[in-house]
Amino acid sequence: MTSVFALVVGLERVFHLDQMQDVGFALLTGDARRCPSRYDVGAWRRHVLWNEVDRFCHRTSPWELLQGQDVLMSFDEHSIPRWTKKFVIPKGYVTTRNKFMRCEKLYLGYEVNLRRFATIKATPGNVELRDVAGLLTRRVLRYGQPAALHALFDAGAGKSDADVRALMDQAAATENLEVTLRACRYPSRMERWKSLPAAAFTIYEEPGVCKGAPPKEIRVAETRTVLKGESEADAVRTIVCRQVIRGPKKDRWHPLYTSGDAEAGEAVDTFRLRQHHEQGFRVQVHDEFLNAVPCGYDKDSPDRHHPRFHRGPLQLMGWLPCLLYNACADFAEGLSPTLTGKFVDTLRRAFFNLKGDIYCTPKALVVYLEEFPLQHLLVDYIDQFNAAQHRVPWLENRQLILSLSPHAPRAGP
Amino acid sequence: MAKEGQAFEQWLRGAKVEPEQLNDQQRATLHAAFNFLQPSGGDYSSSRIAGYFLLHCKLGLKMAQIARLVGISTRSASRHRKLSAREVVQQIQHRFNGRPYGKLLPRHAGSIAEFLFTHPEATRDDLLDFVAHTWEFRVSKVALWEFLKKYGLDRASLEEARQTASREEAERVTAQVLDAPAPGALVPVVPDKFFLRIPSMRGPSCCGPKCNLGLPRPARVSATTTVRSSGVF
Repeated sequence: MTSVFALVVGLERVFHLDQMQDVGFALLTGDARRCPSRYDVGAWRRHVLWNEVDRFCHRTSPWELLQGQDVLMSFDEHSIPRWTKKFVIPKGYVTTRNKFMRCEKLYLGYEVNLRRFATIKATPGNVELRDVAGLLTRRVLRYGQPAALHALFDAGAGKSDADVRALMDQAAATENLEVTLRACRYPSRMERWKSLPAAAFTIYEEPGVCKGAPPKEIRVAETRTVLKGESEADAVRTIVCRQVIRGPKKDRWHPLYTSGDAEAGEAVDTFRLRQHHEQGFRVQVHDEFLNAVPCGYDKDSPDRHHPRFHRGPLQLMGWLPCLLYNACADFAEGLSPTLTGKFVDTLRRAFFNLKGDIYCTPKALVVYLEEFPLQHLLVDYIDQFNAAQHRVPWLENRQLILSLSPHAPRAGP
Repeated sequence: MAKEGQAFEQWLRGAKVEPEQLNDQQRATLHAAFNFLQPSGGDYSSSRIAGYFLLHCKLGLKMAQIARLVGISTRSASRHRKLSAREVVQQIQHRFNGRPYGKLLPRHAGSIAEFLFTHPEATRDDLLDFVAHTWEFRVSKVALWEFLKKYGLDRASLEEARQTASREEAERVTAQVLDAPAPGALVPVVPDKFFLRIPSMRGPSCCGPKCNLGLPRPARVSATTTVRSSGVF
């Protein structure tokens, strides 16, 4: 409970629990008298078992949203850098720091149309997207049961031609699976793609960065790429996207391998939706403190040069922000269409972290919120919440009542 | 566009209105109503306005069909049909003021609890006046009594709560006395409350005790610091 509600109220690190003296938070987390100790919470987090965490993640994944739908799912990694000198843990590439360093990784599946996180896997830092791409895809197909799955991957899923071939073979063997991944820009391949005749490119214009800015020019061509050790007949369909940059800068090239047969421009537009996944990571890092997840390496390992890897704590604390992200999206969409897509911290400021009083009667726990600007949006929600008669089991089963302050009288006529 | 057309047809079929049987006028009107309801997500005021319009525009649809389209029961639709536009607007305003059917709602419990705790000697008439003044409607004594009893705000429950709180406080004091060392010990035990908690980080949170340890004022405080709540036990 503490781990969940700490994220909801925006507790940045577990050691902030030392200073937390809030009655509301204490009631939320199961003790009416005091907030939980960071030592208890930290110890519990460090000792959760990987199989129980896997089960929890599976049970709480929003599979029901995917069932029978045309799913567009992006799979990508989030690297969490570690600075330990004592333990020798595997290194991996951290893109935000642009260096190869000790880290641990979370692999997440994100439904880009619904904008919900769907699945997770925590790994040591030396595991790459290409190692888990097939596994995550199979998991979504098995448990989500979508009508069709279009899986999007970043370049890490196809670093070698064998990885690309594995994904393409999986797509060919599965009836309702399509795969699109960004191709690695190896010099020899780039030369070949850059040598495509200008007539092969279709020019698209997109709105500029702001109103009045010149439109952006995108040129898209379609070709086939022969992978290493394969024949012309097995060539992979490749969409080459050239973003023309004005001025002295070089143009940007975005080649994509795809198993689908969508029109080239449409395939590029679809792949660009993956940006919502990256945005989701940013929200998790800045609003839900994803980088504060506990270490996956075992600090009690007998050999500090080869510490054991404990997936449980890392994966559990990585999945809770995803659940909060999904719940906040549901909450915002339910309140008003204008709140769709609002960040977690915005919702936290507007609806969660509010001033108020708590009245504890023998039969009910009345939470009386002081007047706040957007309270009119909560009226229906609070009525439904109160009608559901939620009870607090650890407070002698009292009914939880949310209450809004009446509107202040208007000044003037 | 195709998706919107599908959604419209789905909306009609959900309300058991066959799209093939609609004439052009009905279709156009219902399409306009659908477009009106779509962005609001079917909130109360939009549904009431759309429902009132469809009930009174002589479209030739059955009342049950209109009720299903706007998501209300046929009985409610029948009641709404007899109202004037002015009454519908009043009902919407009442709904937002927390009075859909002229009775106290659970969300009023906070204000009433605050009144009772700040005015422990208030009579029932004082409370009725408070309700009338705050929400501009009057409730019967019976309705008020039932409301208070339901949420443990009646006099007996509040007295019980006060007694429990004072008993717990007394037990805590007794426990502290028992924990104290026997007379003659070298170092007397000071209660925990005596000490201010030492912050474990540079930026003290305002959730913590108000203490100044000579540290610079933090430029940015934790988001949790905005929460303030006070418990009354």
